[in-house]
Amino acid sequence: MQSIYRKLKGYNPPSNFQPFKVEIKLGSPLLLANPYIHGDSVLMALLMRKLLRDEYYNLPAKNPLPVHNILKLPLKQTKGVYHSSVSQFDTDVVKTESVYKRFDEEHLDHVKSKIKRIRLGQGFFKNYMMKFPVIPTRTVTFYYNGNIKECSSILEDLTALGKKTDIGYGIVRKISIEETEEDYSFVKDGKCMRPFPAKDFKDLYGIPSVAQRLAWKAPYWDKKNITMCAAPGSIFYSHF
Amino acid sequence: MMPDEWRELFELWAELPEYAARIKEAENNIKQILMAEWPVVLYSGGKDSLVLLHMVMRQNNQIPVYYSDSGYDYESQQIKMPKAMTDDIVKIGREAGAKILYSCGHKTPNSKRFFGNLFRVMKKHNCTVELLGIRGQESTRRTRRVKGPLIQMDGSRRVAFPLRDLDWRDIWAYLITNNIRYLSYYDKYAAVEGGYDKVRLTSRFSQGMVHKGGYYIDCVMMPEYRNEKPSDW
Repeated sequence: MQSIYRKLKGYNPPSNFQPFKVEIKLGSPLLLANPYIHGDSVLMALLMRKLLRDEYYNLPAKNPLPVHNILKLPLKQTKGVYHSSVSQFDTDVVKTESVYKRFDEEHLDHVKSKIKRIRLGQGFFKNYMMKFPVIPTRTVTFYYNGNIKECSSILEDLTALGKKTDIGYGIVRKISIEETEEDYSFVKDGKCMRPFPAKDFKDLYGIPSVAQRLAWKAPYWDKKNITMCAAPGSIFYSHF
Repeated sequence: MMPDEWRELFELWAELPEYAARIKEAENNIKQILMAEWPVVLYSGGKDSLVLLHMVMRQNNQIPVYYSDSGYDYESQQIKMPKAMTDDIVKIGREAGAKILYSCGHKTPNSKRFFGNLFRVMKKHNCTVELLGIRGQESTRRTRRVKGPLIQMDGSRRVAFPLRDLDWRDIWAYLITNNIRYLSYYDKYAAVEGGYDKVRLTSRFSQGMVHKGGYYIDCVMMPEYRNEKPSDW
């Protein structure tokens, strides 16, 4: 655990930042368990994989590392929140798709094991069908404010987005990065672009039209990071 | 709002003589039960139990209705039925004619006390049988369950399934032709899941219902409720 901590803490990102946009062209539909993907979580996952290599796959899940405090991303921060938007899709359509998981019986002869019987009706190898929401988007756009060079080198490793990428969903075809004149990572055209604590940003942006209990820092799945946030897509009322 | 093509389908379905015969049979089932028993209607907020509730209330609106929602699961710290949905379910039940409606569950961690609360309600109103909106068409297991006499023994409980022979289209045709308001959830999810035949009202954000389009679809379709807590109510 100490070596993991040291590797993550040892990363020193450049500190010259500028706003930019990342457009990702997809080759297959996106399978998600959330209405959006957080831009900083994509960078954080890729960077951690780059820094930790094999150790990345053996991180504690029940008591996750406070990665937000240990690893510093090459992104600007305001009140502890990274300047990165959530994913913007080119469609509002949501469909469902069934994913089937079956035990691979064909290649059993290659397995050398003492186990004689495998239960397919229960336990780890259980066959199942699972429904997922599918977003048939062609492009996914993120807005960041950070170091373009460093971020583009991190994003080079991005091969797929979303869930079930191992069976072909969310395959990345092309990533294009371009500078933007303004920083759209927090607010664009008056609309909230990422979750951030509504109370802390009240003086900066005003009161959001929709406030929800959301995670505002990575890991976004950790319930400890949930607080009342301005919801992505909500409008701000500056004079309430 | 239901799309026009679906509405038209159900309106056309309601003109079929088979539909009228099945609805009449369901109403007769209720009539027979009411002649000999004093039932309690088990209402979940779903389309089937809503039709059952409406049919029963048309015959006698003094019959108690029992609704138990799963509310918040204190064990997994996950919302199972958002408060807004619960409120709407109760409101819809009242609009459908329920005069005596018991809503149990939500605020306290007593969602597991379904039968405890139900038996208390039954005792209070001297109810002798439970009416359930289960249909045989839903699954083979349910087909087996509803087979047999109208009033059946389920352990120590006496239960009846008056809608057992109805088709899913009968249910929707009944709701449309009688202008009964139903949960907007159905319209929202039917658009995503590809039809009104595929949508079912179950507890939300349930890991156990993942295979039926539970947890992940809810996370995308109703993210506002995902982290709801009793302290928000």
